Amino acid sequence: MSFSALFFVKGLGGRRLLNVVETTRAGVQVLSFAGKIDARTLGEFEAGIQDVVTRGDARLVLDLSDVPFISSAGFGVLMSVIDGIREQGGDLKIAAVPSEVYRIFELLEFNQVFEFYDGIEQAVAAFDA
Amino acid sequence: MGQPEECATICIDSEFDQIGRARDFVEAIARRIPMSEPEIYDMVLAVDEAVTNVIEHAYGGLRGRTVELLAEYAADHFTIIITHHGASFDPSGHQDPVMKEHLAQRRVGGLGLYLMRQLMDLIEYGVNSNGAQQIRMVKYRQTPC
Repeated sequence: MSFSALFFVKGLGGRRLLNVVETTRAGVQVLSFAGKIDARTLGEFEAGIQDVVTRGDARLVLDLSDVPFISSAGFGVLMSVIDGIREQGGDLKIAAVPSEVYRIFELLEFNQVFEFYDGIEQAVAAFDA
Repeated sequence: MGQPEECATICIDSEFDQIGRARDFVEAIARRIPMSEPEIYDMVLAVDEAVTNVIEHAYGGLRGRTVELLAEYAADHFTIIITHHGASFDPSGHQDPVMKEHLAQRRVGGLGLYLMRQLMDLIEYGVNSNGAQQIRMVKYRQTPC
């Protein structure tokens, strides 16, 4: 596993709102976000994904274990990026989603478009399955 | 529907930076009642979507306007009333998406109102006696005290 990048959005008083740490596992880029994804942070959420995709790394796992809240703005970002990723021959798999957030993914039937995994390792392994 | 036992209000500026305050306000009151984790999450997300829509659409993204939230709860339900002075909204012109088609078309918007309708038991849009726009949302508790 290699560490690749770290950036964040700062709120008032320098408090971090959305962090992302990028690691590489078995040739798959794992983006571990931490914070709430809403209308304020959606730009950073999208940039965090697009920065990796524009480098040509299209095999992505989103680790959402430290994301306790996603509004419709965040769901829209996922819809906006997925086709571009797949056109590059890659995919975006979603891992370790907190139960309340996953309930909303289910409500919106996102499993029609995305694969969900309980853990990061399972999501990474699914690329070679 | 039981009579309200207590109510609280908060007023935020029409900025996305402030939406977290609205969420925290609703969550703090809901935890005092208390309500279940799914019920709390549903209300917090519905409020986020409603306030985001007010800032983005009713106020057109203009800063310096106000959004007032009133939360009142009774034994069997929790009510949130959002008051603003922006443009009115007619929800009857917005049908719920068919999710299979919505997802197939990779549509990035149009889920906020759908989520509000799915997560809350009642949503009403209206005008109060002062001419301000109001959104009234009600969530019934699964386990009344």
